[in-house]
Amino acid sequence: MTRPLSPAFLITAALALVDDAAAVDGAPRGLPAALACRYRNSPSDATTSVAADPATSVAVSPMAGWSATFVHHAGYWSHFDYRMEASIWPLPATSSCEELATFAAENFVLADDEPNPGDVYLLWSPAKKRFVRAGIILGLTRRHVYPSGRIGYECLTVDADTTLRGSLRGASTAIIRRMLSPDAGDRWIRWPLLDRGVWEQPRFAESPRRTAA
Amino acid sequence: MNAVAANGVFQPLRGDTAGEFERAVAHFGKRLRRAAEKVAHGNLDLAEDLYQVAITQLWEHDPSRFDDDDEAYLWTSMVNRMLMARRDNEQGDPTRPPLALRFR
Repeated sequence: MTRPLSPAFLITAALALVDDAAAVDGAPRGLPAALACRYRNSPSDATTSVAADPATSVAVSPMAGWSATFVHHAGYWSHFDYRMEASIWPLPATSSCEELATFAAENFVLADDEPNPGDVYLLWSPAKKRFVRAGIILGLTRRHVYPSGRIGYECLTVDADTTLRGSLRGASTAIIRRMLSPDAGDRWIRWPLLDRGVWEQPRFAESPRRTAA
Repeated sequence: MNAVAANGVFQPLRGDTAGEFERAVAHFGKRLRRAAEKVAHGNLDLAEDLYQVAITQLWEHDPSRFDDDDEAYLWTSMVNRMLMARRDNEQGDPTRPPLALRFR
């Protein structure tokens, strides 16, 4: 039996990849930096041995950043089953937030209600008219109503490709307190709904014993 | 033993997008005050109100979702909000709700 899709797995894996505060303050970087290099590989080093790893072979385009690549890395390895030598992570391997949104919309898992822990959020840029960042929601802390009537959710998120101020691009992976608002265009991917169940997975549906009988 | 383990307890890096808002206020602040005074035609009380309206607009926009290329968008949005607020003020209805609430 394979393991189910679980937000707990993703959150645990993502938290393990958060940078060390002491290392960012100037101490020599050790494990976090080495881990970060695994999913920050640029297209130019796609020919190196790191690219053979399916979770890290996602090409990072300079426009898209590597926040979505980080989400895929955390998702892929958190749902990797060593017995089957495969991961059941359901989202596509991409560095494009737009591609993630399209996939989620096609599979009816793109949500704009209250965010749940483990959801993958997509941050909308009204200036660029596209999703510009992806990250993992740890939890909802507060619900805000802005003076204009917009509703926002203050969430704790695990973000890569950011700074301590939660900037759009940066060198760190951190836990960020961030405002997400469906009224501002933000959406979240409720990927656990993509769980097909054991009976629907190809490995079990096409059992060799069944064909022999 | 790697460097992290040898140095002691691991503390995860934590941040807040409020920092990006403060940075944006510092970046736009002076220019915005000058613009508010021009929009208010020298009425300093109104200029202060317009400045606050623009800063509220900036807060709602959440500067952490913008980069340096989007500065013009943010600036235009804040100035337009000030112009709308002045028009509402001229129409003599200071309690008029913001635009987004009127169409809900």
